Amino acid sequence: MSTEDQITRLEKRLAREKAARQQAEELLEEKSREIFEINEGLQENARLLGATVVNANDGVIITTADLDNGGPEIIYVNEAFTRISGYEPDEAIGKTPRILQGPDTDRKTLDKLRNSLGKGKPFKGELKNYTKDGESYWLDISIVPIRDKGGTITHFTAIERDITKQKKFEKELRQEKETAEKEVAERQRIEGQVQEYTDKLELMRFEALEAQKKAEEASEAKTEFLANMSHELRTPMNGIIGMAEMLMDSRLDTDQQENVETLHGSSENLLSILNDILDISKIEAGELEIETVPFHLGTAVRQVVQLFLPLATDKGITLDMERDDDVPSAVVGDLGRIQQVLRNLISNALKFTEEGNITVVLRATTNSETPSLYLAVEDTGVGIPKDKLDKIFEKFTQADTSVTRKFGGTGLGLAITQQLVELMGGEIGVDSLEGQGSTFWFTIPLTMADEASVPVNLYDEKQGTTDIELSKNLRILAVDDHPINQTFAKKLLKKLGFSHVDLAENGQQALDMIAANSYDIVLMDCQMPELDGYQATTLLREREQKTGEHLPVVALTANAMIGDKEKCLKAGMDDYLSKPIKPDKLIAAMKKWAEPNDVTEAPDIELQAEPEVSEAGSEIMDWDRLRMFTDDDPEEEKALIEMFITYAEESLEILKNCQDGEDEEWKKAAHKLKGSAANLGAQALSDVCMEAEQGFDQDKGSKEEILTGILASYEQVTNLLNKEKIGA
Amino acid sequence: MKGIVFTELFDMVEGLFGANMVDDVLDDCELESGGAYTAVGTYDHNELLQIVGALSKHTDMPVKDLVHKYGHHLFFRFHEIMPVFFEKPQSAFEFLESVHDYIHVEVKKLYPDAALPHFETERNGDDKLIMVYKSRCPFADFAEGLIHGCVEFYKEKIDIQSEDKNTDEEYSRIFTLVKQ
Repeated sequence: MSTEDQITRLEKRLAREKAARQQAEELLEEKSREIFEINEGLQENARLLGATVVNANDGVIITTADLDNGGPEIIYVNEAFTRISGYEPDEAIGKTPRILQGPDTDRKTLDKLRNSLGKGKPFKGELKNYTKDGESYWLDISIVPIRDKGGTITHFTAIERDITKQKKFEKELRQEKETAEKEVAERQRIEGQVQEYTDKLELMRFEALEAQKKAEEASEAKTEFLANMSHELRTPMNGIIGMAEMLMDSRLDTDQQENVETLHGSSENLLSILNDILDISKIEAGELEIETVPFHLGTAVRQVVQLFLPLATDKGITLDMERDDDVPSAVVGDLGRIQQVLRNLISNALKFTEEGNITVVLRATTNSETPSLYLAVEDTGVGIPKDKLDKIFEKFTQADTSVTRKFGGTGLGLAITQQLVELMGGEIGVDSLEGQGSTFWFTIPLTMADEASVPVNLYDEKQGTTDIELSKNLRILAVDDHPINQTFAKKLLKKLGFSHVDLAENGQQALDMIAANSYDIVLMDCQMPELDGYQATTLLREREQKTGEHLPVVALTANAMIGDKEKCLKAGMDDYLSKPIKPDKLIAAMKKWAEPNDVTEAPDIELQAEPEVSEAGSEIMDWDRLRMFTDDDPEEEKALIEMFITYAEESLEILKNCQDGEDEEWKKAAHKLKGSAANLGAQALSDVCMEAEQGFDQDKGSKEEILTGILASYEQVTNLLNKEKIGA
Repeated sequence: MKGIVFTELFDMVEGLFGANMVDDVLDDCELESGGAYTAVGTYDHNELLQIVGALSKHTDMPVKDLVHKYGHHLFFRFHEIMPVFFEKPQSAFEFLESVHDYIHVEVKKLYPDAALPHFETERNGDDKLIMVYKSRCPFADFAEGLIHGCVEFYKEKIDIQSEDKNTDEEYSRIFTLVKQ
């Protein structure tokens, strides 16, 4: 081969190698560009991923996958991890994540975590970890295993979110929710209750309305029924009483007589209750009519007061009357009803007053447009408790139910009284202080009458009808230890037309007088010194058994108690009248029992004296009061004074015989003198006597001192009274 | 076809027959690349067929023998230039089994455009391995040379039988290797 050929061949080879080198360079450049571009992409990805991990709000921890030998090892933590845990990267890297656990890290959750990672499964859960300073915090952890190409787990990536606040918030929220739920439940419960109560209330209201309607209907029906019944009952009651009276007139042995008398007494008692009921029924049914007649007001009131005077005297209570000067004497109204009201009020006052006084007050208001009368009954009795005051006028109500047991009564009296007052266009009321006394008052419109138009006074009017069949010549023996009561008995009988009236002051005297004289009837007080009414009657009946005679004896007692009545009948008395003695009742009793004996006139034992009106010593003696009872009759007045002196002397004898300590006799004598002095008008004397009565248990010295006072006061009274007598 | 197959072939030809033989072969061929090859480049496999045909004419050796010999040679060269693939396999069977699942996967990473043949293996007991070659290129002989090189490399006594299973779409040869 030639050198030239050799050169050509070498040149070709060189050209091939150059071309190959150029190809290789181009390829290299191309590959370099590709690598550069890929690298750029990778770097961008890495930057984004890195920034994401580094700046993530959640903590990121990358650990090795070594679960066995001392646990995995931390190889990377981000900033958030440091923020949450307090560990700087160089403090955490190379350590195990177990440095983050503490006493309250839940072991069960840790077991679950290891179990999941051990099986190559991701784990998600909540875990309590601890900061470098030992403070606990809650994490929401998500751990993912990282695998290589061959599927082998090489690392774990844990993403941790601090949920401490969230946990706390959740807890608060839960508590708030619980509180709110409780509140809602409580509110619902209360609302339910309110609804329930509202329903109940509505139901109750409805029921109450129904009940009220029914009650009103029932009340109307009851009123009507009571009115009818009371009326219908009265007819047979009258039959029973009439037949009982007839039986009593027939020949009966003592037992039978007693039984019939009890029957009669009970019937009368029942009839009086029926009358009350009829009254109230009539009033409620609007059937009661109010009359308008002219009458003397002062007289009307005085008559009622007089009626109760004996009863008051027996109880040692002063009963008087206060009348203003401007009260007109003649008025128009329902006399009977006004007296009924007063009777009820005074009777009530007497029931509830054990000592002191009862005053009937009479006033008038004439200068107003509607002139009215004011009447009041003031007492010093037990009074009425505040809480009972507004109920006192209700039917069937008494301030104290024990009162019913003690005094009887239907509980209708004040209700009737109120209705009567209202029917008369007036008003009734009560002022009371418990333990101090009560004032029952009423007003009625005042209509004045012409003095001349007033026809008659009361008893005179009644007299005409009540004594038709009774002989005015009946000889009557009135037995009463009390001079004032004697006087009233005598006065009443005289007014009723009986002039033959003898007086005895005790049982023995009565028996003596019965033996010496002839009487048609005896009015016998029960409580008397020496020989009382029961004993006297028993002795009388024994005496009569020999002669076969029967002198009617009518008992007069202060206490209207059923037991008393039985006691009277048992003693042999024929009838029984309770004080205050009502004229019609007295007449009725006399009509029933008294048959005039054909005997000569009884000896006149009345005292003759004409007292003169004198105002001297009015502070010692209230002459007005005295005259209120005597109707200015000088004879009456004289008799009254005589008797007062007689019995006062008797009391004084006992008082003079005073002793140390408790002395019942002393007390009784003082009480007696106190009552008669007060009712006579000798108030000063009455007051000292009261002192004596209260001091009955003191020593002799004190008693003597009081006695000196009594004697001095008595002397003043007697001086005045004697002047009066002499003057007359 | 990767350029390394060309460069290694020329190195072998130069070593066996001298540099002039390379020039002569290239002078006989009409090659699109002009005969300039670099190991990292990629070239038409028809150029390799032209070169081997020209070489056969100049050396008066059958193409089949040449290709077989080249495969045998190249396996040993692989051990020198790519020792990484020899770290794991401890025997001929293990190496052959790693070709498809490991070596070709790694080659694809470096050269995504490389057109590689399909090598499936099936172990039949400890002593028998069936390997199936499938490719659009007619290089089954080349592959057979490589297999023989492998067996020789691991100094094992293995009988290698082959059977062609070519279809219209691809070339295929089944190798049955049985340890002696």
